[in-house]
Amino acid sequence: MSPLKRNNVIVRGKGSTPMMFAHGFGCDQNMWRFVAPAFANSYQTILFDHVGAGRSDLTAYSREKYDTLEGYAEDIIEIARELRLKDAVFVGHSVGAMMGIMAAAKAPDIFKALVLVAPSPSYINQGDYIGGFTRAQVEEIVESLDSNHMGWSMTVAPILMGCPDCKKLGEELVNSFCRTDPEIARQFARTTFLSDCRSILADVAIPALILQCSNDAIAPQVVGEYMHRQMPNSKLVLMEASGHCPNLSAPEETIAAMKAFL
Amino acid sequence: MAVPADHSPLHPLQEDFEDFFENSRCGFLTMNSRGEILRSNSRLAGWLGCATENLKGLRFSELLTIGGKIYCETHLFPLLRMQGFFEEVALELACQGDERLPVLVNAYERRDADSKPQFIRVTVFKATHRRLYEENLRYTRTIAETRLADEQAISVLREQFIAVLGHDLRNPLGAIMGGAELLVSSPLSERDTGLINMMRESAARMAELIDNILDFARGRMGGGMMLNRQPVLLEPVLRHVVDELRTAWPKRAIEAEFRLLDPVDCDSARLSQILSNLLANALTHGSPEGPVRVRAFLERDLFELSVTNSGRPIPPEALEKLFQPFTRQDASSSQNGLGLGLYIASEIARAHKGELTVSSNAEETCFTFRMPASG
Repeated sequence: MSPLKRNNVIVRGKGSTPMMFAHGFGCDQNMWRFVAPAFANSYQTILFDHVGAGRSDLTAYSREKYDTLEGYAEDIIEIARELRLKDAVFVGHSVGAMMGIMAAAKAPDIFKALVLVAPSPSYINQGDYIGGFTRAQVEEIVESLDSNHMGWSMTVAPILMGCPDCKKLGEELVNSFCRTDPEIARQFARTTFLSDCRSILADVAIPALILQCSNDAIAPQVVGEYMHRQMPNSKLVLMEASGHCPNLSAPEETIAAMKAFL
Repeated sequence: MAVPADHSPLHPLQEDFEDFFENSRCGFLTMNSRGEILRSNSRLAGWLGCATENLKGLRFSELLTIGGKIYCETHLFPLLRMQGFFEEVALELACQGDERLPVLVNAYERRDADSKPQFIRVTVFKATHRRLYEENLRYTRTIAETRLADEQAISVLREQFIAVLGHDLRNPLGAIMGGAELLVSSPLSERDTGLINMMRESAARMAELIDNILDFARGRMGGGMMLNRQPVLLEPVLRHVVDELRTAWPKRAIEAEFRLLDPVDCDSARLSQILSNLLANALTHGSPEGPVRVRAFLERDLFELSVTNSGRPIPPEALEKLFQPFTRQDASSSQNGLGLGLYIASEIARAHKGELTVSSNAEETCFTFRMPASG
């Protein structure tokens, strides 16, 4: 199957330099709706959904492949190869940033620069490393996915429950963005929160911009600082934006920081 | 026209919106566009076990248990920015002393004229009881599913047992029938001949019952009814069945009328079985005085076979269940067998994309089988 179809790749923009946007855990390429258009005049923007998210082909989902971030990184490389990308800019949010680092380490010719929005190489505190979560907390996150009550599955059309009137209801569901299959969301969360990519940070020498939010419950400031120390050619920007999604909550600030870097 | 009474002010009391905000039975909070709490009501602070001042400046996700916190930052907040609101999201507040309070949360984003977010308004409803109901529902569903799975497993075993039993009964029965055939050809007293004939008839009847059981078990076990279809001229086939039944019921009149000039695409052994079952049924339950009438004709693409008998009508409530397995038309009749004959006949009809119907009134009871002749 074509990776372009599999990952619902949308190519726009008038520029010649490609800029690829990868979303993180939660939602889909809609995460870039306030940021990507700002680069459409000077770049060729490439947006996609990870397999299992958004309008990706769910039949391409494989539990084995997507049990590690490498599976997602492979997809990024395949999309890039299919579009014959060279010297592209990679923009990744959250765990999407890690996938980009992996892809850049594996296929160094594709990307010339990385923009890492609220990244974290590992979420669990280990020894001197502060990831922001204890192992018990990460286990609780993963466990909470198994409880229907946490609302993780609320974005799923209730047709899964098998009631005949639900199909229509599903279409009319108010929370219609960011729908995910709960099984896939569960595994994606596991893959995300149990991943540890610290060892490859030093392997990527292309310029990297780390956008660190203030008051980010998922990627705290010490994590951004750690990334900056480990990545030889990185620049750390502490943002005014609060939370984990500056691409949504503070698009202007995000765009300005990216433009300054590029 | 009566002049309406003079309008006194509707509300002599000033409405107290401060009280409404603080003490309604739900939590209210408002955040700035950065997602930091500007103000929350004392109801929410009370649930959390802190003062409203302590909540100022926090992010909403900081009020939640860890799973909810991650969900809020990765899913809910993006949803709110894209959609402008979200509704009925089940979360848990992390209250003082490790207590968790199940809540339902609604939120909307107040935007300015340029669609820029200004404030986020959040409403929080206590959902302790609802959560309990949901958990009970999930629990009962799990139990029901387990029980169903158990029952299905038992039921498969039971049907396998029926199939094996039916199959294994055939061999000893075959020996009995063979032995009886041998005895018939030896010189016998009149009394012994009578006994042997009775044994042969009983054995033949038993073989029929076993065939029915096997058909039933096969149908139930998902194998469905296997048909061996081919175009057949049916008249000799059906006549043979009528002759058999005439031999078995020598005192009864069976009138047969056939108009079958073209072949019918069907499993002829199965169609014989339908006729045999319907005839046996009519002979058993119909009035011994009246004849049983068999009619079969082919008209364009329609093949129709009907068996009619006189006698007491079948009560309407019994008619409804007639084609279900193990249904006996008349509980007192010892000749009723297992009540599988009509069920199997209707299954054969269905397998042929046809149907078996029944009508019954004071004059007659008529079973009709219709199917498309071209298959």
